Amino acid sequence: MFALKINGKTVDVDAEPDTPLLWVLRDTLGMTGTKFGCGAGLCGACTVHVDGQPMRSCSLPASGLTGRDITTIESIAADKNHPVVVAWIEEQVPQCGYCQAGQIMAATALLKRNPHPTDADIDREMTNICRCGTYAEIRNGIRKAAALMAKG
Amino acid sequence: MATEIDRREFLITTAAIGGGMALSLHVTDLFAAETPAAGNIVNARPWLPPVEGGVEVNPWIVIGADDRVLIRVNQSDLGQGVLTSNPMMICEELECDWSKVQSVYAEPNRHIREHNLYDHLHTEASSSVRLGRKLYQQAGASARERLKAAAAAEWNVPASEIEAKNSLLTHKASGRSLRYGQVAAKAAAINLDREPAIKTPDQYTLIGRRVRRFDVEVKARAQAVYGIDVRLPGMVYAATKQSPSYGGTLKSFNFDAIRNMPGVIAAVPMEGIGPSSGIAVVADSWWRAKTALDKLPVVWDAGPNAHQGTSDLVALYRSKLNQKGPTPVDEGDVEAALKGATKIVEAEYQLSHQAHAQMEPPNCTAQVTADRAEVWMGTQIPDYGTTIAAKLTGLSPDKVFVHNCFEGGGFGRGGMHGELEQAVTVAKALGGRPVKVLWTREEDLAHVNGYHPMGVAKMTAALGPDGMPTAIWIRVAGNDALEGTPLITYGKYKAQLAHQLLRGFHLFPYATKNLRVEVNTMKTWVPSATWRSTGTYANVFYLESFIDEMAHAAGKDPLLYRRALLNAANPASFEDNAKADWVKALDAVAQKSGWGKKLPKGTGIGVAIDDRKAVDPRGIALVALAVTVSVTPSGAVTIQRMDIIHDQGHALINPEAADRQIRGMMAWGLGPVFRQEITFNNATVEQSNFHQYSPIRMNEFPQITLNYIKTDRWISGIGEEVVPLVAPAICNAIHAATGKRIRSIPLSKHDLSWT
Repeated sequence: MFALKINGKTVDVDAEPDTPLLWVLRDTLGMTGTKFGCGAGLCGACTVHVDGQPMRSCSLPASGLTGRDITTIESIAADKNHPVVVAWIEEQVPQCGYCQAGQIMAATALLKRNPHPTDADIDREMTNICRCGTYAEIRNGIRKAAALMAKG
Repeated sequence: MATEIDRREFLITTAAIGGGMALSLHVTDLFAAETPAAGNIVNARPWLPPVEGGVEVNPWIVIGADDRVLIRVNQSDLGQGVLTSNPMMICEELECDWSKVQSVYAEPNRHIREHNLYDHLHTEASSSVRLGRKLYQQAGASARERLKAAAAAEWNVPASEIEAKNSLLTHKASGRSLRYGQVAAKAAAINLDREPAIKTPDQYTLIGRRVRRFDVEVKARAQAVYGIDVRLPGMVYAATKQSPSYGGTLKSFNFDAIRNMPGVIAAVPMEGIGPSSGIAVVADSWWRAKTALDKLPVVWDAGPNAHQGTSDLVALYRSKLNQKGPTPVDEGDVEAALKGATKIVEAEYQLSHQAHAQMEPPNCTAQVTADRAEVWMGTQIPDYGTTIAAKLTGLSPDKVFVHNCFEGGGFGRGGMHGELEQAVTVAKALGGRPVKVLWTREEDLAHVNGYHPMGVAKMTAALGPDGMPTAIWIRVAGNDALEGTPLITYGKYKAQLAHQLLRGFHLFPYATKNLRVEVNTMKTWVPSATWRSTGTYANVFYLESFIDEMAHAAGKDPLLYRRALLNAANPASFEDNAKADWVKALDAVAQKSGWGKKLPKGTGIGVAIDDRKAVDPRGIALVALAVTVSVTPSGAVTIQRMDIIHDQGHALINPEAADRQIRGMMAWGLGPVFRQEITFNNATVEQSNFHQYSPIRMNEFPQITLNYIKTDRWISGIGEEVVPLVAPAICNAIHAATGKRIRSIPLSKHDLSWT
């Protein structure tokens, strides 16, 4: 048993200490917004924020995150006016949609660090895989979100 | 082999998870997402309506008292937008208020019980509009006329005097009006004397509009329930493994070695389900199941293919290129033309196996009791899923309920049901307890159980003194991209072959008096199945690469060479109006890409064109692609831009969705060009995860222009048409940039450096 701080709430988790955060979120806590794609930190579908940094939860032993601030897509999406989510809807980004929670988490972290990313910044920071190939729409979504944030 | 259950653990976890409550057969998920009730939406669980209630006017259309219209959709959302575009085709005729339209999946169980009520439930080969448009328009028109008839009866006026628009029925002469919601119940009871005619494209007011997709919001808010997200009371989890080698089987396993690991409940041998057979470990969480499975001692019989690999397959396929094969096409006298040729051009091409690697790893949740089976998964063919579950449980299909979830990518993979076979098998062993089977990515790549097939081709052309072909001779060996479908008999020699392997060659686009096509249909231990673009993927690569080689051998501009061959009269090739469209598309793509302008060394443009002609008549969709590449002297390739000209025929249903699909499929096409391939050693897949089978990412996604051309026909589809053009256009561009001719992909196998 160990405690995790997820989306501002502390929860007790009954799982083996080396259980990846992804599976604690999905199976133990029933938070299925964070997706499983590869289990090896390669695709980014499972991206969450740990202390504000985008991290791949499939490869993070959960017990090692005690005391850290974990933010998941559930927290971002609960904000009806979250600029990235709003931009994703405005730009009609998702196709199958499966990778988009991870894309939104990666984009949110990028915009926090860098409110006006260039194309080169986006190329460098957005490394999540999308098999539908929504990359052009993701790029537009990030630009739109940056504009929404600049407006306040 | 028998299922091994840890009884103690099973009882403990049943009590803990089930909380002692009886398992309901009509369970709802534990984790219910909030669903907004208004506007153009779908339920986060797409098999359920966003709002209950309303009157079923016909099986496709439910109208609520508040004029809300619920459209039942008989196809699966794979990201292409059918939950919106299929309702558009119905509502084009229904004349309802579009802002009140919502959609839901048609029920597979009802479809089967009511004798194929929805005509078809499968989603494949870009068929949504091709198979459904008339059906949907008719359903909408029929409902509209019945609503009119109901209002006519109410007012005692002829139905012909009533106008239906924006969910309002109006009788102008008397100034009366009724809303759809007010007469829906009466309309449902009306039988029409005859079905109304449907609109022609010039009458459309909704089809062709850029419309927002109903499924976007639940996806952007991470509420959409994919198969992997389904959670049921008392549900347990299974991790599964198939024989690493294709054709291998399970010999034995030792459950005692993992029995006491945390949460472990059972080990279930899965036998008799074809290539999906293997072993499952069941636990109270998936991670625990997977951890225990990794530790489970398993002995496999490696099977009859154990010493086979990709190199053996390549040798086998290539051996077919040196002997005469089944010959579906033989026009004129190819041998004589070759003897008299001014120049002979010869080339051999090769393509690798590919996996789908859709983002959502295969999974299926199932619950099986004595008189009922329920299945939750995202599938492209829910009625086929029903058939499989019925067969495995011995239940009649009307006792099987498949709940089609959101699906994290289909691409053809979503039509295979190995995960369903496994889940139903394991659920049977668990006696009524729901179980979710989930594959690792490694298991997914190793067991697609239907790879996009490899292929080889030998292309030969005789050129005359003017450089134009006097003969073209094509010899291919490949698997059927729809393995399992019957071979066809084709041509004067009654050649037996898979029709996918002949696609595009049977009605040849380019003029040549002498043409021979030989097709070797291979069947090996590697299962083959459909993949985004099916059979044209290989044939377009061969032909569009080779035409370029012919042009260069003739010293001519490859685009103008194609143009000249399309314009030349030739009774063996296809009809003239389509050829005129080809020329139009080539001219358009030349203009958009800046074809012909002077480019620096190391930069080049390549073109490719195709119209997806199938051997069975199903319409065509014409696409031309120009790709501009730059290659550094050390051989690194960058895609500068891709210019696409796409057929729109009479109409695209929702151009907003069409744009996104067409642009997106460029990523699909680019992966195999750069580095994706599946190879086998000891009948075992050598690529385990995305580091070895690595799709395109943001930094490699190029600038794309997309323009449509209008043609006088309904096109066959837009879901996969451009994919086959990507590889030949890029290889042609690399030749233009470096002088190096690439005849096999991925490019990672070639040295592209130049000085």
